[in-house]
Amino acid sequence: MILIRIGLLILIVLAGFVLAGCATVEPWQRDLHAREDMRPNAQDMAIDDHIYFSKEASSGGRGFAGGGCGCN
Amino acid sequence: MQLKKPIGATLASATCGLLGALPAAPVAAQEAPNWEVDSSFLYYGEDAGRVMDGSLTTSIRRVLDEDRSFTLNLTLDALTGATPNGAVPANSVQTFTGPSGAQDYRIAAGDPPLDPNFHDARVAAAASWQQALGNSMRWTAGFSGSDEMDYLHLGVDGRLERDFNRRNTTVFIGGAYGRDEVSPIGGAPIGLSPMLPSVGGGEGEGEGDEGGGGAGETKNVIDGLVGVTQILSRRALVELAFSYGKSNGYLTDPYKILSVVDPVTGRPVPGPVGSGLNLYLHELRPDTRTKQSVFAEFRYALDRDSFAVSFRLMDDDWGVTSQTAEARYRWNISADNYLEPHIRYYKQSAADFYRTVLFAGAPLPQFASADYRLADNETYTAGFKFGHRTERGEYSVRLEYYHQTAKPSPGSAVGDLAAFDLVPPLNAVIAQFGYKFKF
Amino acid sequence: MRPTILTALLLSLSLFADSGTAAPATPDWPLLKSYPGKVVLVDFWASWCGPCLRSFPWMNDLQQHYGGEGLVIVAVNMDQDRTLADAFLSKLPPKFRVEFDAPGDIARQFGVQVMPSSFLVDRHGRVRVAHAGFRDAQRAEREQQIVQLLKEPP
Repeated sequence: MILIRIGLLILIVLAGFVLAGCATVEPWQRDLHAREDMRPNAQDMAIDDHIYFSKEASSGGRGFAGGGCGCN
Repeated sequence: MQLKKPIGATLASATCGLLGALPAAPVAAQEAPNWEVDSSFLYYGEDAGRVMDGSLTTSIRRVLDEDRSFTLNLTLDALTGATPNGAVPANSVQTFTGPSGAQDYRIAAGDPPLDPNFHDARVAAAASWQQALGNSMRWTAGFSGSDEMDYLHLGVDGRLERDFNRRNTTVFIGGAYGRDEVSPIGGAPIGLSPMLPSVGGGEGEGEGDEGGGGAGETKNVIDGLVGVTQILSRRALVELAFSYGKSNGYLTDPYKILSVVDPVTGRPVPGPVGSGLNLYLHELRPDTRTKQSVFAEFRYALDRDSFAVSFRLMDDDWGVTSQTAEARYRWNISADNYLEPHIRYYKQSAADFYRTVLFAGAPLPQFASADYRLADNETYTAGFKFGHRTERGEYSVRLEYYHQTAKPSPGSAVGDLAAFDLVPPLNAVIAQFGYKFKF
Repeated sequence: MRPTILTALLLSLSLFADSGTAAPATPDWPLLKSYPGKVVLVDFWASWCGPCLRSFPWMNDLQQHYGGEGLVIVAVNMDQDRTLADAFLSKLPPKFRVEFDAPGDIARQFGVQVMPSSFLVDRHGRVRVAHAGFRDAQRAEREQQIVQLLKEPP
């Protein structure tokens, strides 16, 4: 459990740093992020997750929102 | 039999499909396609006569306008083969009672005890609605369900995303609730009770009169996820997520047992008088489980290619802690072809109540399971994905090799058992063929 | 303890409120001066931006329809990789003027907050309307705004 608390604290501290807008990328500089390979493939992730937790004791834990072209 | 691992992860799988893996942002496209269809056929096959699985998955998304879309996922799964039942090998023939209605089976001397009654078919469906809320927020809500011979899952999930800093930062929060019902053939056995011979010639309809425990056992799972995605530069992105899950109810695997052996010779001891079986106890796990995990991913775009690395740390109150590291490199060979090699490393520690074998005469533990999935294990995965785009859509092939080794609990290899591989390694091949298109 | 940390984190994030689109009153762009007395629709787009591409057919229609009445559409391309923009334009040649601003100087001047962004400049060179993003449902309203500005005397 200590490991998780340390991890959580790191998460919060890092989140604080990044959200301070240390690097603001202009909306028109999202060309590379808009590339399809810069987002995880939803179906592959779901299939992998299903296989791994059928064979291991851990599951999920990941999410993905944001990134991409940031359009509209 | 569960095609899905019942350690509170069944829901997590469905919800992680919905919570995590399906982004709510609209897809950048040349024309304005309203429909996106993504289908895969998957083959999963373990060696040494173990599990084989074939499945078909389809995801259909209808984009109604720039701010709203609807997604439907459907999976059909068929499972066959044999899986370790939790007992250890012996120098004599071992007979095991099949779950009521299924065949009793015999394992030859020296062979790993695999339960061959492992055929099942599953249907799973999930639907979700994604909608923008104002300029910078999006919400998603969905429900999911899956049904197999002895396992029913129903769940709901939701997520909210908010952009900041001109969409350079996105915070997301999600939750899911699931209710699963396990209806093992013959009813759920009483935990840590001895395996008994089948009653009356193996034709039971599985209504749960024998073996106690009732016809259906339920399990409730709640999952929460909170995270942030931050664009670091024109090329780099980082994502951090924290998730928390709590399950309670029936978390035991009703088909798994533990061998009870002599503490000096390692040989099976006789079961209940007149049963003609060795002594095997049905496993028993706690009825609650709390898990937490921290996840981080870094993605980087080069001029032509890109790569992603991720780490996950998991911790729960069953004593399992795990570390996962994964890396992918996308080689965009041309506008129409790509190759994506992938590697993954996973390590977990054993659950507190994991026991490879129990010893006659020792005090009975409160909980015990010999399921290799709860053991101290390490897995390596290596593979690649190849994709080819045509005018209409994209074909892809994914091939992965999965290798898992596990350690028996300390002190298990007594007497005869020292000569056996108590928890044999697992080798599996994963082959996936996919096609996706828009119209 | 954990829920408190999460709540605190989320609350602190609400402080990072989104700043709205801030279009300057009179952009200092020489190109605008070459269209005195015209209504100019300045649209910032890129080949990798889905909604941008969907706005092209609509802008083609507008340019054809209202060009005679004094509408000029200038589509400013923001592609960092010019070859992608060229490839797109050769496949779908537009009926309006295209400019290139990879360094983003013009976009910054106009205060572009999201892709695509468009700005309606009246006959006197003043930005009157700014739109963030492109939505099909807004086309009628936006056309009306153009018609209104075209009605104004030069």
